[in-house]
Amino acid sequence: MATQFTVALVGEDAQDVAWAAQQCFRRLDELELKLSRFIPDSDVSRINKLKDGEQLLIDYETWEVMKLAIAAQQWTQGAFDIGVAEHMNIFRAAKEGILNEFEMGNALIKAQESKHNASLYLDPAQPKFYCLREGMQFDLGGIGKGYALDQLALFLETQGIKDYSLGAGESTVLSVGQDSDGNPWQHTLAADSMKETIATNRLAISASGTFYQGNHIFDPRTGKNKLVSSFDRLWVACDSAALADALSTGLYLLSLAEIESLMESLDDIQWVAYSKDGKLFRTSQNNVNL
Amino acid sequence: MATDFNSDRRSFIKNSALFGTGLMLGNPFNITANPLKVGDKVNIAVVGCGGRGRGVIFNNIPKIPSANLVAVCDIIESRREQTKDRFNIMYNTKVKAYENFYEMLEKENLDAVALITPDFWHMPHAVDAMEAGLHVYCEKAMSNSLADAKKMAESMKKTGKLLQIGRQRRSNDRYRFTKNVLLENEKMFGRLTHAIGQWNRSQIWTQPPNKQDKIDLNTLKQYGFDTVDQIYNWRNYKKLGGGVVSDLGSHQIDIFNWFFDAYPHTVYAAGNNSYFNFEQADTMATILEYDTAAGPAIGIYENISNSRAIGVYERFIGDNGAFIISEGKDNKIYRESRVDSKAWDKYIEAGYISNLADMNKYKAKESGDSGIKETAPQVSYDINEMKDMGKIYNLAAHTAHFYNFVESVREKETLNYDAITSFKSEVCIYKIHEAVNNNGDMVKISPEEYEI
Repeated sequence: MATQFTVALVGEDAQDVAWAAQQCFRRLDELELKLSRFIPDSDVSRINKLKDGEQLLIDYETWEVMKLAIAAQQWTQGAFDIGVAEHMNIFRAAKEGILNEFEMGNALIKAQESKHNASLYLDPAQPKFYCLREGMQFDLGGIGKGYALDQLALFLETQGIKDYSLGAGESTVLSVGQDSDGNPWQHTLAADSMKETIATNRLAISASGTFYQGNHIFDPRTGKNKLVSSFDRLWVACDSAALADALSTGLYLLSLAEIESLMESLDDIQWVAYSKDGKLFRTSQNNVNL
Repeated sequence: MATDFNSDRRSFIKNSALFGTGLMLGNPFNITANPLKVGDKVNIAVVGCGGRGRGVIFNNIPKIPSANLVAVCDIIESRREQTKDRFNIMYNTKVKAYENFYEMLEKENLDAVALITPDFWHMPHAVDAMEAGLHVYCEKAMSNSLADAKKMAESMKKTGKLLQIGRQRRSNDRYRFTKNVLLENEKMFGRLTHAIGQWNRSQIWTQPPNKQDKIDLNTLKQYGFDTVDQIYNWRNYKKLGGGVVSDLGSHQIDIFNWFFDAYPHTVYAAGNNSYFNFEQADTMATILEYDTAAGPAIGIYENISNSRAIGVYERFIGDNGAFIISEGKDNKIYRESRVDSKAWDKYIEAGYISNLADMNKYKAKESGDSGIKETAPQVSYDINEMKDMGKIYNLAAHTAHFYNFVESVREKETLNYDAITSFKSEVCIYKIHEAVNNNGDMVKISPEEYEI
């Protein structure tokens, strides 16, 4: 998944815990084989190659994560969108010198038109995907890392491990139970001039920002990378790491008013915090106080 | 508003359409029933409910409309009962669970069994099942002894029953496309001279006993296990399994044989168990010498169990080009610089391969290039559209391999990898064992040794 995962487990038997940690990384490998579009045999790669009128049975995990992605897409009115892999390919080609700026601009317009003309369905009743009209390419990078953390948590529960903190690329964490000192897990939200520590015993937190990627970000609704967010960084906390991952990406493109309106009707979000001009803020609709 | 995926389908579609997206929840074809009648399906029992067995049961069989799981078998009660219960709940079936393989054969009306058990059990179960009139899918390796592997292939020949061995790359669409179209039809890479492969991982596969398993040691002893550890880590015991060369190397050396269309006449190998101190070698390297139709060729294979750097893939070098192929992310095709790029345009025009990440379609034709700028990356190619190769499964390789077996039982296909073909690669594996056990001595293999 082109990122670094961290697994911190607390348990009485060091051998059992070490084995469980090893199994977590095996599980990540399994998930990558299903969910990565860069692996040609993955479900996502095979979905991306479907022609008009074709259908495909997919793995349960692919089905589950795509259903969550559709929900996140609807809630954010398209600000979170997994159907933008071709746009990402174009950005990469421009970065590598394959396309010049002029070609990149035209390519993005074509990719967006093709995406809007596509007609693709995920069966709500069974793990099956249908392509009525091709034209949209999927990338689960914005939700797959969080989903992977949820899957590791399910595995750890079956092994009787109740205290753990899992991380994906330092942008999404899922912490349950207590650390090795018996305290709630602690995570820091930092802005330029202030920081705040969150103590939790069951929560997934995901962050989006421009610290590593520059100010102009890609907006799936327009197909262009011209958007400037209202925030320097934004954090979303949910029970599900997959939703935290997806919503942090989507909400980062929305206005504060849009976010607060969404939170009024959405129980899945625990809280949203953001940084702006070096300071930390929280939204007014938080279901849990920071 | 909470997450509710059971909401009315129509409202989901309506909501999705509002946002102008091309991805929606729904079934546009409104066909969910399996068109096959019960009598058209292949009744299958899966023997072994460990990790790979559960993969067959939960990942492969549900994607094969003609496969009907009727029973599972495992000597560990918790494994077989949990597997049975989970499958019956998920698919509303009445799958039964057995401890004893032979009791299951007697009581169930089976067409086929899938043996996903430790290597040492493969021969007796496979031979007895074929003698009883059943077709068999058996995980690799065929056995932990060459003599037993030979008995399995001989039994297939004698009974006329199907015996497919689980080296799933043989049914992987990309591997089949590479072999059938790029290598055989197009001879795209010229004469292949080298194959290089490795399976590098951080640690030898070991696991502690699952605390949920109720292990009755007396029962296990009836089935050939002396200790609880042997049940979980049978691969590390010579009397039960074949070690890393059988488990991992056999997948890739089989690809050498397939793509070279030849089998090695000489093997050099060295290995040791110094890193983990189990019975089987954990670190090994081997050189295989071939006489292919195009000329001599060399296969080089290594297995590292203490570092996953470099990963898992096969490389093939020809005088016109080279390629990396794997079931993971490492896949790339390279043209040798002496070959004019125009000579490969026909492969691009045919749709077989693409270059520049398939971004040519966006390049401005009127200007002819993208302007003078930074150095562009090295040109390499990817497989584009797989065609002109017969059946395309469009399934994950394990599922495709099992699908091929089930459809062969239904006489709709022929096996992609029967036991007689597999036996030839097993010969290589056991000659490597022989070389390792004889301090790296050179081992010659006569053509007759590959025959059944």
